[in-house]
Amino acid sequence: MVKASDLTVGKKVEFAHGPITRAEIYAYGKASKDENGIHMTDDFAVQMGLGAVIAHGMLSYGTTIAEVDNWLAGSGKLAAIDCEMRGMVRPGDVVYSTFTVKEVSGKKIKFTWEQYSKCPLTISKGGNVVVTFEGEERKWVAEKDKPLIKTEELKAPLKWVKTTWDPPFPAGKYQEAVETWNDGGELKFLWRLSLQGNAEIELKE
Amino acid sequence: MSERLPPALLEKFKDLQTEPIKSRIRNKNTTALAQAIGHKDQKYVGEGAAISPAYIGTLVVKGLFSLADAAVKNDKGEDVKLITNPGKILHGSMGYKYMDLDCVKDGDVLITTGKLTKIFVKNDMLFLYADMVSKREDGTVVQETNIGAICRKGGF
Repeated sequence: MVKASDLTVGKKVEFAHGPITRAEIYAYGKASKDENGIHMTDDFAVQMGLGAVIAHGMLSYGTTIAEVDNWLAGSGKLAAIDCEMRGMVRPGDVVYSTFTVKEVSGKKIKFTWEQYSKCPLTISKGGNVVVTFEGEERKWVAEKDKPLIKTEELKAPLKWVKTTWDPPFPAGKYQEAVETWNDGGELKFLWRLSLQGNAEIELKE
Repeated sequence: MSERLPPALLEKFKDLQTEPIKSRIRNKNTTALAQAIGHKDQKYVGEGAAISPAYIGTLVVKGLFSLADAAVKNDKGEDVKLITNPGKILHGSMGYKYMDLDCVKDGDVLITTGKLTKIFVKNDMLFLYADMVSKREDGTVVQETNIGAICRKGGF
């Protein structure tokens, strides 16, 4: 149970969600009735200059709301939340949200929060690229975002989305599966701010 | 600045009302959304389910996107549409204040209305901001929102 006495200014609460799949984006589009082609159809998204479908901002926001609600587990409720959408979230990305306590006023807790998306690009071993992800293959990283590329040594298994197309992207039908890379190496990825804002919860205790 | 939408014409869109979005709350829809975003609490699933705060957001977005069909008359009396390609619209920002979501149940009708409060072109993109509110039919306010959207070059 989450209690106000456990939340002091500066304390961080973190959530992760993903990797996000095309099936998940499609399901959200159907459920929310936001079936804009830039989310639902790669062919259309490519015509719109986006390179491939992008997740609804409301999906990455909605998964965060669900994560907060799951964390509260009935010990309170979300009273208010705002955010600016700062960057696109793509299929295969994992989103990381961090809520930082800004103010505690009785049972009302105010947070700032931000969400970063991690878009995998390649895995290298011994200087050779051994895995190329969709983000690299389809050149999703704009020139202006290149400074946001980072690398890290993989110390834990990496879940990623393997997508195959028939006929080829973007018009073909796709199949996707979440797979796990267990063989280490150096991961190159885009680390980009996707959402940023404030939130307020009201706790029972 | 857009040649098709000079500042004086753009100003005419300000205070434009969004199309009222009337939504009957259906458990199957609210449940589908709760499942799509990963709610674990069973109160959001099935008969008598509560609605997720995220569900309200979907109603607001519909209202904002209704502006895609908005048009005003130019000096020649011709209709000039605000958006020429809705595929170029991206959701930009939002702020929600939830009042009494727990009172919203299956079968309730929510009416979401709003108006455009700010509109401008910057860096070849059209920025739109609206204040919106969702009420039950009895007038109970369940949420207030300010929401922003960006229409990319070629879409306005």
